[in-house]
Amino acid sequence: MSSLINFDDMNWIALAPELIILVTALFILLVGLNKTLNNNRYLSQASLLGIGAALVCSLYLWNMAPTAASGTQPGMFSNALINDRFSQIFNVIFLVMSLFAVFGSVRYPQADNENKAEYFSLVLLTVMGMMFLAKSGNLITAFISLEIFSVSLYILCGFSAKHGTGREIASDKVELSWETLSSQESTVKYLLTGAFASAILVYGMALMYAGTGTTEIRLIGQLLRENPYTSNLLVYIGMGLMFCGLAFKVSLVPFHSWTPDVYQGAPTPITGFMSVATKAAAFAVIARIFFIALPEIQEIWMPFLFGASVLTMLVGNIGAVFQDNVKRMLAYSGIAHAGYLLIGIVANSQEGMASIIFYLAIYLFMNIGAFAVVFIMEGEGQEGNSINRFKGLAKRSPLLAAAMSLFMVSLAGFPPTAGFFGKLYVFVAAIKAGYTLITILAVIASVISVYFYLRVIVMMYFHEEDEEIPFTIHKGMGAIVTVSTVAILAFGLFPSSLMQLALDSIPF
Amino acid sequence: MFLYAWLILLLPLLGFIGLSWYGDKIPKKFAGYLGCATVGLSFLVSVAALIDLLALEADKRLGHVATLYQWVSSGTFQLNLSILIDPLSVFMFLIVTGVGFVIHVYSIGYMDEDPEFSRFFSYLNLFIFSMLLLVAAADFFFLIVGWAFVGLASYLLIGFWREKTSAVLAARKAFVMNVIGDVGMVIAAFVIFDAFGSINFVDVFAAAPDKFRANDDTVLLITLLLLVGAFAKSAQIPLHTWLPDAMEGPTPVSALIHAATMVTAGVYLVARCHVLYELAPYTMYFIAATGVITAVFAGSIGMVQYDIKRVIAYSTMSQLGYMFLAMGIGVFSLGMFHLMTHAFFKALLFLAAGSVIHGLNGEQDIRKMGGLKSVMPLTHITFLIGALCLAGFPLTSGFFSKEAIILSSWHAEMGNFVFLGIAVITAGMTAFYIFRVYFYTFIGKQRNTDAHPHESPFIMAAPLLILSFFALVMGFAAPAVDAFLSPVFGREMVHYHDSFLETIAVLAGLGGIVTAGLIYLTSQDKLEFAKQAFAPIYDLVYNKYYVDEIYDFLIVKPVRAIGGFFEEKAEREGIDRAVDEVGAGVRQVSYGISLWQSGKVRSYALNMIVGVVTVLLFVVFF
Repeated sequence: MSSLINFDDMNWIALAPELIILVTALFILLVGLNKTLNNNRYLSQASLLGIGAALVCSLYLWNMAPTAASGTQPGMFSNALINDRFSQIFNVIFLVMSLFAVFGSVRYPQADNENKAEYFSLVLLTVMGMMFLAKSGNLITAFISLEIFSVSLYILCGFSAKHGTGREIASDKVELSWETLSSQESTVKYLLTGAFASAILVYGMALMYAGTGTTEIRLIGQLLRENPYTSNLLVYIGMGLMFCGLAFKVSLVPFHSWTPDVYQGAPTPITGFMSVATKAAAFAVIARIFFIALPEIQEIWMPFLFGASVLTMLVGNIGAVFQDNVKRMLAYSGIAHAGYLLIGIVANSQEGMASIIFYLAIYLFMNIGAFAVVFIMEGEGQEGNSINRFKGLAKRSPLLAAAMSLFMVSLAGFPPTAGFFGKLYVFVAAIKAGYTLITILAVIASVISVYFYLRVIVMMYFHEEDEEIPFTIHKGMGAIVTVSTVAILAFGLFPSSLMQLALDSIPF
Repeated sequence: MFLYAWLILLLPLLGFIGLSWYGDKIPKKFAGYLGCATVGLSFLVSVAALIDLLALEADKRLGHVATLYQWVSSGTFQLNLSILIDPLSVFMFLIVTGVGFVIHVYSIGYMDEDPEFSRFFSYLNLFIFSMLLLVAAADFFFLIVGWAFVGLASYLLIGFWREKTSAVLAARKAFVMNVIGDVGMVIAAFVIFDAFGSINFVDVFAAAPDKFRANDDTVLLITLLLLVGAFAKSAQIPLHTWLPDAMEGPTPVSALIHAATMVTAGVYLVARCHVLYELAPYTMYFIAATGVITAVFAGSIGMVQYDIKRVIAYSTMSQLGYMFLAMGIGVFSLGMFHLMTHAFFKALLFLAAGSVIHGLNGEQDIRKMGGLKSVMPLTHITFLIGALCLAGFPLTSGFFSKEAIILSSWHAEMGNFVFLGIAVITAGMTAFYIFRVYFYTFIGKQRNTDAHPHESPFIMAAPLLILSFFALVMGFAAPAVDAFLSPVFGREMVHYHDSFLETIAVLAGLGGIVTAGLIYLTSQDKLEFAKQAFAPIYDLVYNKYYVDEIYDFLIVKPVRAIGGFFEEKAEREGIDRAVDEVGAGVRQVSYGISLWQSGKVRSYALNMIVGVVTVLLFVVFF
């Protein structure tokens, strides 16, 4: 391997979306110094502008990206990054997600908080990290990108803190509110466990390098294919540890414990954002590593991926049954969905990859829609996200209740919503690859999930409200709910076009 | 090229959605007009489709699939949102939307005083949409969807007067019977997919003749399972009991659902799947036999009923029996032709009966009617026309279609003496019972002097006149219909000429009319005498052969008893408990997971270490 810098494959154009986001993030940080411009309105508009531009670029680049058919090499920057349709379609998922996050941040950061610019800039930096992660062609780039977005998220999770805004001398003795405490708890828990996971991950990568002599993902795959001596115990252990580190990010059992606590404490827009975006980012790199680098040693990783998938689906869905806090319930449901997604990796086929992309695109809308409704209905204090607040919603706001029902039904996977097709394609891929057992278990797990999804609907439609709970539907939230509803219905009616898109976007 | 044919389906669907959402907010008149307009426009588009189809060469009219887009593609299973345009489906479009439109218009008058006027029209539109989806489907999936929707719409319409217990019970009965049929259809679709790897009509029917020899087990299974659905919808023995009860709905509903459209779905299904049925001669015999038995069975019951609508309902069953007879002996286009003529004259009879009921403020018992001839002249004339058609009076439409079926029941390859005999006897019965109603209702003195009958308004009379016209003349369209449909069935209709049989059939009809006249126009004493003399038979027939009671005894009671037993033992002790236990178990595990979620970071780290160690053990030792 030459250590010279290769100037020929610096394809800056392919990095346009990332660069736009980076510039926007830095710009917002600077603008935040100006007191008049440091308000939600200007900052969110600037963010939206940047995200929109990046989104357009990504869509354009998706079209231009090298494909297996075109014969061009996808590697760039000495193969540290990969420019293919897979990375660009994940860019689209992240960007849409961040669009929702910015739209959703109407109450965060709070009015008395001065760190508004930091909030938006951190959201953008998170997205940038994810985008680089989906593009990484090298384990080192992957790790750095992963840390960029993780560190940003650690901070964002603590943003519910109303106090401690940087003043050197505390003015008064402050009583910390429940939100503040739980948000801070969330940050600390996420940081500690996350650091632990990162350590495991980077150790795994080091062993992988020790075993193969390279950190290039595509090269690892090539070596494993061509050189039987590469297939050694160091590689196996490295792979196992890398899986554990990434499993933390997508909250697979038993690496899931942080999820409910962090989701519950974090500001709701951030919870919604990370519930989908983190999962998508980590699955992008899992897909790349297992599908591109390690398919040759499938029989080694298959058993524990299989086990983790089944365990995750069951624990996630069963755990959600007991939850009265909607955010915690959605956290467990998110764990379960990670299990379904892992089936796509287990299938280890092109269809499996495509079904993951499809599922994530669908999951984005139904989950962010659900979180938007949770945000609208949110109250203060420990009971602020109690499921009891949904009682009688159907009478007060039939449209909101109908939208929430659609999200729940879609998450549970009822036809003809988009959620049904998400599951269908994953299951079909698994059955085609010969994994019938996992499909049966997945179906059993989703039967359990029907209980807690429908429970929300029951609360909304069949219970009288205990007391008048005031809520306002902010424009941004209304937009999220509307777009998600339309998307779920549209993808339910026209699933094949999206699936075709996903099939065109598998990594190579 | 037939993409626009989707409008035929979409218009009534839009009408249904619009009326359900905004029906209460718009003026009542407008709701009625809107309901009519969607079906009327749908009819015009059907006519356009007919014209386009006729412009093509006869052999190029088949198998036009108008696909909107591919809905599902998973492995070998492909599902397109598409409809099939060929002479058979266009033929059905025209009947459904044409007769449907006329009945919609009539409903404006008939339902005028109903407080839930717009709800009625939204259901009617839903019904038309469902029926069109059923006949337009290009695969078994949407056929079943339409099939189930028709069941739903009929449930809603039969039980429209929801404050009436009997109506709600009748709606439930119809729904249950229909669902039995649906189950048969769904299983049939699975078997078809298993056998052919596709559920598209075009693929399945193209592959069938090469794949299976005659009377292959699979084909027999498929055709019989489909028949379960067909018999349930078309009220053939033994799945017929819902049809007479369904008369609890408003009369336009009876006309629309239980005469012109819904009950013909079964006949349509056999026609659509004729390729499969031709491969299963055993099933064909079974269809023909069931058809004739139903025909004579229902005909005999019709002779002794006193509810004007029930008589007509039994006659529908009986006429459907004729259609199935035609299907069973392989003269498909004749069956479809009878379906068409029947749609006209039966809708006419129902609407005229509705006019009578409307004029008498809800009276349905013919013993309390009489002498309406002078009071309701228009209704009288139109009812008479309908009755003549039904009785097969020469040169009316019913004459042409029924006559042809009777002749075929002897001359066709699969015809035999029994079929012929029963068909002729039924023809006599048919003429008898419908003229019995006619004489009771329109001739003689008014029996109930309290009633003040009045002629119906124009908006109800106009549909009667339109239908009368078609009922009278459509018989002459026989060659055209035959030429139009024959490419679908791949065979020319054979025109049998047998003046002896023709005479007998005509005489049977005339004999029925004359007998009815002799009995009901002369004296009531003879009638009573006849009733006394044949008391056992009379009771048997009057009580509809006790089929409901037999079902009650043979099926409902045992099922109840078994059900009671199982409820006690299996349900409460077994299944319920199992479900409860599983639920409790899940909650218990869920609680355990909550306990596991200690909230302490060190225990989370421990979880992760356990995970890492497990994975490493897997990697190293497996």
